[in-house]
Amino acid sequence: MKKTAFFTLLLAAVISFFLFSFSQEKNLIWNGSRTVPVHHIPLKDELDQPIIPTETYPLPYSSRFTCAPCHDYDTINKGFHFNAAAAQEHGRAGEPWIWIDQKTGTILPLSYRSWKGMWHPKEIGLSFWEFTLLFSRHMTGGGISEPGEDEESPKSRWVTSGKLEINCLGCHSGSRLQNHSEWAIQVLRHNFRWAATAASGLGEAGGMASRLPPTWDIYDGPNPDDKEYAIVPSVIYRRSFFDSKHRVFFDIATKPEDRLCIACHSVSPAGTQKYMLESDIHSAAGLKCIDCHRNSITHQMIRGYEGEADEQNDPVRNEFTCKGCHLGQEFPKKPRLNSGRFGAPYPLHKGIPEVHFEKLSCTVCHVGPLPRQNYTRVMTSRANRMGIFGIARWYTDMPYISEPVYIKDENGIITPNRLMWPAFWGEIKGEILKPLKPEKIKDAGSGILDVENRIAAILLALSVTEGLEGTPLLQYSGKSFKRNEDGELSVFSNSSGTPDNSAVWLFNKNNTILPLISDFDPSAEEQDPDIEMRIQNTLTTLLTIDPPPGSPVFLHRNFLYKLVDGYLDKSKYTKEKEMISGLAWETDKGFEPLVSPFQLQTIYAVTGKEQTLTEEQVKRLLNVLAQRNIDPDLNKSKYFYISSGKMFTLNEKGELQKSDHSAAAPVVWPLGHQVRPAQQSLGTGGCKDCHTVNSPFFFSIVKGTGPLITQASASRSASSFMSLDKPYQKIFGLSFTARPVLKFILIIAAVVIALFIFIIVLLFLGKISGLLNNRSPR
Amino acid sequence: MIFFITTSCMILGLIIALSYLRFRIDKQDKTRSYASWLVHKTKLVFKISTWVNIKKTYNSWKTHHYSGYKKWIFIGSTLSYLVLFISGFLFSALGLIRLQGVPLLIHVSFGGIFASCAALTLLFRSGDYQFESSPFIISGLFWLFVLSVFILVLTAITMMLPFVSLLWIQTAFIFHRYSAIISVISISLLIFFTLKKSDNK
Repeated sequence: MKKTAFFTLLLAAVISFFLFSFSQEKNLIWNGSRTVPVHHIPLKDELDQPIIPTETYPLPYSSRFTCAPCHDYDTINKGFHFNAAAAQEHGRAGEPWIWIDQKTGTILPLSYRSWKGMWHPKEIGLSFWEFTLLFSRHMTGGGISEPGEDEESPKSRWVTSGKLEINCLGCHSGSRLQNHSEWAIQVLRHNFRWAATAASGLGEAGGMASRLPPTWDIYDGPNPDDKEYAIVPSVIYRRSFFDSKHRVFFDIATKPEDRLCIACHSVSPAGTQKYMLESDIHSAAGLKCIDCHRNSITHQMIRGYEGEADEQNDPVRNEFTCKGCHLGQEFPKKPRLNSGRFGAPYPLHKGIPEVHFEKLSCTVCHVGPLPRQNYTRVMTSRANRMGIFGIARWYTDMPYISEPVYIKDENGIITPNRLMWPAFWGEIKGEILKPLKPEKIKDAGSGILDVENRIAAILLALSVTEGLEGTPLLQYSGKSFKRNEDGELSVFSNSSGTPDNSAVWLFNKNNTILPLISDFDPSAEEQDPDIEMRIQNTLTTLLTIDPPPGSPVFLHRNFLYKLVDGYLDKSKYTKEKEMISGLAWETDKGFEPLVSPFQLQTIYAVTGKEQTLTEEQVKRLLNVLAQRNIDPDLNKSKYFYISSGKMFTLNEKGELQKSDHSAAAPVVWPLGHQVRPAQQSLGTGGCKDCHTVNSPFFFSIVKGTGPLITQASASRSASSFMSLDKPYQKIFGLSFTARPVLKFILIIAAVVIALFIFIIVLLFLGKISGLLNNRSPR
Repeated sequence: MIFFITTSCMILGLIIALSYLRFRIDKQDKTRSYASWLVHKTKLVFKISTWVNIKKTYNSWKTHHYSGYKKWIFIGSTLSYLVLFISGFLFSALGLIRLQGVPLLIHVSFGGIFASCAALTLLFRSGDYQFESSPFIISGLFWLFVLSVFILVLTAITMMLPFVSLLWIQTAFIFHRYSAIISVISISLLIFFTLKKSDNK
């Protein structure tokens, strides 16, 4: 009996296994039809329940369960866009995720892939949750954004936000309603499970999961008591999209349209107008991104670089490299007979010596901007947060990405790269160097990094001063600063400086700049009541600053004005050695100016500039870090700040010192677009496109950039990136000035030699024909 | 690789052939076997007196055939050819070092000197190598050498001009290399037979 039961179970297991295998395989096999099936399908939510749009509080659709009947979600989830943290092989370096925090001057390249110069998020202590929050604006969902239960970190709020499933429609939607900005806004609000529905246009999502308590989950439903702040996310479906059976028509583009690819993969030269941009020559010729960057259901995208086929053990990938399409695979020496994919034009490469094809990748001459002395600054979607539109400004100026930087890769081939300089605070303990999270730095840098905000807070407080009908301004050294909408400062005007370089508080009334408190004689018998009222109101508003550094006072010509029980009190005082006048704080240590010289110098240096830090700020913060025990386990650490290719540390005297360090080295990744027309390739202008004494190709200099205003930035020459000998390249470049002469000499010599050979041939012919022998002398 | 094997065989064959011909001519050493004669002559290469003799022969040839300013043509052509031989064969053909960088610069520069000197040599000396006035073998080798030099110059220009496709550049490169071997063989044999003729006189 036991035996029978055992074999029955075994048989059942074997049959189940085969059935399971078959069902899995079924989803991976294409049936041969080239048509795109009409996706008129029922929506399923994350509980695998059909969605009925007319129900109260319907859930958003789940791609895992809606798409699953036909498409193997788990297989797709192992594809290139999703497998960064799980893959074993990562291939050629790609663009990192760059953590930008302007306040702390952090520009940290991150990647789950083991690419040179990029930090693994785990090394910094970033959880999947934090990484998703930081970068899901340009992520596809799935992968790390959809972790298993055991991978949840303590601070994560996956239960409230939901998992960020693969946003299939983010790439495959054919609808013009597909909205990448909506996706970014929803993920910013922690509305992960609602993001795909809202972005697709199938429904409208409201509420903010970020404002909900972490204990909330979808079973709790909406909160009827709060309709103002902590509103539970919900979706209102467009009912016109549903038929009577609650099926939805998905406008599916099997081959993703370029407009969806470039939502995350745009690259544009900084400061260029959109209408001035050229498109990639392949796009102009009618090709789509997906024509080269193909994939099967596995979603293992073809990236299209040389060597990918070997890395992936997939020879087909060779057909989609530059050479694969333009030279073909089978008859590489027969132009026009061997067209590769799409019959791509066979390049003749007239006049280009063969050595160029051995040492340079195709992209060197054909891709990216032409080399210039100062390189081209570009902005990318993911690095500079482009492509998200709304009231708020999403894009950032930093990081500073330069291209094309030609670098010799590990195979000895020179390829064009994009380059950025990392910037971050960190600690070294022993041999281990570790970046610090911006939040830790912000905590330590209170009063040092938030200078702009502090002054903006004063200006904000002053703006509500009773009787002040204008915008308060701070003038220092010829610059006037006002508070902007972001709670920071903007330079209002840049005129000739105030003589004493001290802070002057003003206000702008109908474009007339007036002093906040006009000059007056406090010793006069009769006082102007308006002035005293202005002083009282100003001091009252300064009390609202949170937290006030002291009691607000006004010092003027040996007289001290302060508030006592809400009333203005005037008293005489003896000037201290370091004279302070005007608005000030009275603290335990005495009087301190409303804005310290350090704060004034800082805003003078950074406001209105791309850089956000001064060396003084770095020095002060390093001192604080050195004295403060940020991490109890790492109290013996040495702290540093990296920017512009240099490492900044404090020496024994507490002064800032700069040094080189491998962690400060630039991070690079090859670029594959944009491809220029053949007529605009490097070299079409002749050898001198590159081979001159001062050619940008060999001799341009990449200077370190970063959030720190410093003269100590690193610089590297183009030739050093290519591991080339600079003096030799100078001489070689110089030789090209004499090359026309050489060509002329060779041509003349060839003509002369040819003439003599011709004569000899004629003589030979004359002799064998008897023409010469029969000639008789006259 | 094919070129390397071909070059090695041809140069080796040339050395063997010339040395054997010389061995047959050398009446004083008739008692020696070819092998011992070869060892003996190889040893002589390392003696200063041998190089002094070569220099004497070189100077005598220069004085006899290239008077006045024409001596510079001879010096230019011989020295540049030597440089081309070293930079071309040692660096490239024998695969010791790839012909690039400074050696390539030198090769190209001396190529121009050699081409101009070769053209001038033809102007002043081609009359001496008419088939009627000199032995057929010497005239033949001279004009074979001229032909190979012509191909060398032509292919060098081809590789420099911007209207020739990569395929033609690659083809020109192959022709350039094989012409170089032919030029070396022809000039070596030409010198041999010319010196032999002088000895006979």
